[in-house]
Amino acid sequence: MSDTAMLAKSATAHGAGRASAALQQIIRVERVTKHYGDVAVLKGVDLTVNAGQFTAIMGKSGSGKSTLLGIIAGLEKPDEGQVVVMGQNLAGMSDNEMATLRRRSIGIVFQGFSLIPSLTALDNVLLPTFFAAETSAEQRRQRAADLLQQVGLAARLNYHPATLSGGEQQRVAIARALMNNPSILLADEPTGNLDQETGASVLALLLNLSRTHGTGLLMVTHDPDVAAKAGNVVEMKDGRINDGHA
Amino acid sequence: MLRYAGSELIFRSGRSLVTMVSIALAVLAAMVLTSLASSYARALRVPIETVGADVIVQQQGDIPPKLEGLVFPHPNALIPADIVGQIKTIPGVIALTRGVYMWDLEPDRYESVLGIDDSEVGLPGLGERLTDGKPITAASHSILIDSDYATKNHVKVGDSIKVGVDAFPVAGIVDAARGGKLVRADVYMPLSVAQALATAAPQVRAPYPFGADDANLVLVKVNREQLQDVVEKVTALVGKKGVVSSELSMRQALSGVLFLSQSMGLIIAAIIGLFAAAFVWRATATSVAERRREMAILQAIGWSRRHIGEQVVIENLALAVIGTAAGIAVALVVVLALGHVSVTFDLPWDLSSTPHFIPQAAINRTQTITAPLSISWATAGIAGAGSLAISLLAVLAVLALPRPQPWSLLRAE
Repeated sequence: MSDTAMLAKSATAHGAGRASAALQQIIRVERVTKHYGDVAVLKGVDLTVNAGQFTAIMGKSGSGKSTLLGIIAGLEKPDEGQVVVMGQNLAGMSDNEMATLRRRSIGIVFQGFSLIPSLTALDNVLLPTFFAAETSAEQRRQRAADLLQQVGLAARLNYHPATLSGGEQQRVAIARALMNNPSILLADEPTGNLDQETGASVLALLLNLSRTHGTGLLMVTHDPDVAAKAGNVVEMKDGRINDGHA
Repeated sequence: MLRYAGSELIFRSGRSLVTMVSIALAVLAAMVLTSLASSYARALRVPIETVGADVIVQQQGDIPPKLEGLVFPHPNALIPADIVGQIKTIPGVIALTRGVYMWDLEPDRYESVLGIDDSEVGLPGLGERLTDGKPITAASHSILIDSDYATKNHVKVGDSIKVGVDAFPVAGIVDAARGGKLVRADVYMPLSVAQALATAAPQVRAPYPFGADDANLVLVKVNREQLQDVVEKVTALVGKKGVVSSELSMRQALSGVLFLSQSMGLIIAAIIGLFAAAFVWRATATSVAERRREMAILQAIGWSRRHIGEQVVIENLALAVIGTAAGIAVALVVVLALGHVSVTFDLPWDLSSTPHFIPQAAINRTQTITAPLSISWATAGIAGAGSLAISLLAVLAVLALPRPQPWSLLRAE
């Protein structure tokens, strides 16, 4: 299957049927632009992601795909345009509101393993729930242990990141991203730092868990084999969604 | 968050240790130095306090034409009654005792004589040091003698001693050494008797127009908080020839321990505190800079900037608390191990003058004073609050610095 064939018509310019689709939309990006100095990284991007779907954003380095993911996560501010996540417009949200949205609805997996080195695997998974008052500490601990078991690390609960392999660290990061049962998982080249075999295994785990937990997945990747597994594929080029494939 | 803080402090144990040690050293220095300083200050107060006063006022004068009979020593010149009256009205003066101190120089003997009034520091104070006989009052015509003098001259209660031209019965013997080595005499008598003797003494009258109500020694008890103020006012009152002795003059005279005076102790502690603050600031700034990516991760998984700030504050405050506790603990050990301070010094001749031209009249003026060291919990409180404030300010200042967008630290591209 060619790259072009893999690109599904999914994400952009959903002009028709917006009212009915709004019920399922969990992310809506409209006319977003972003500059770094004089360089325009995003040039009016529109994107819609629906609940429960695996959407892949493809593109070469510098195409703006990671920047777009950061803006959707609320960790980067756009120059213009708006981003709506779970029905909430990110523009004008306070830091506290943004943190609450991320804590309740978004899980993020990075390319770098992004674990806190001083904490054990179990405590790293527990981190997003430090401020969750609705569940008891014991329930949270149990869920974190269950998730680590699901990613195959039941025997590594009390290991620190430095004593885990790269693949194991990324599995901990996936468990952490799922800890709050988010509506959407954002993944930024999650297998980019892993060898092919480990990467395939981690990817399979990520897809399997997102499906099992009913979590949408928006993944930035430059790997066509990864994108091939996505229900929807968006290609970015020079800061724009490539409409030729949309 | 506490669990995370604990893990973080252990994980970065080197930096944690540097921060804690900096704080502990500052607290230790503040506590030990102030403890030493206050003990030295207490020791320096002892010689004058044992007299029962805080300030001793004297006046330097002239040498009489002849050194015979009753004479005023050089540092005990006339202090007129009106000057004494003005000293009494200075704010901060609680009580005042007048005295007349003389040498009785005879061809075959020598005595130092002190006439003193019946205020608390005067005759009643001498009565407390009686080892034999009875106390005397202002109306008595009898005298008390020092136990050393009594032993050396084989004098006992009931004997008579000639002072000037009159003979006085010995009512009692006092252990004057218990009162320290200042303002010490061989013979003690009521002030009015000494004033009468001085008024009639040719070698007193020759240099001074001594009146029946005048004195040549004044002991002043003052409100300690106003000591410096009182000393300054008395000094201004008695003029250039005045000798105003207090713990302040003792401290000036003892330059060897001057550096440990309370203010110097505080200055040294403050300098060490500034160095500690610089260490804490640098350690915090480096730690936060190293953890920028970690903080971005926390933001990405749902921590607000406030949560992250609180986390760093908890970590720094924990270091401050542990550092302060360690500093206090070590200070306690040091103070307990040292136990006390000892100061040995030669008391000024002026304050217990003896005729230097009579070798057998000389007394040993060297005094060793021991003062216990004790922990100042007020200093511990101030040092603890200071270290907490420094740690808190360091975090707030570091967190207020401009930060990069979190995504720039986390993105794949």
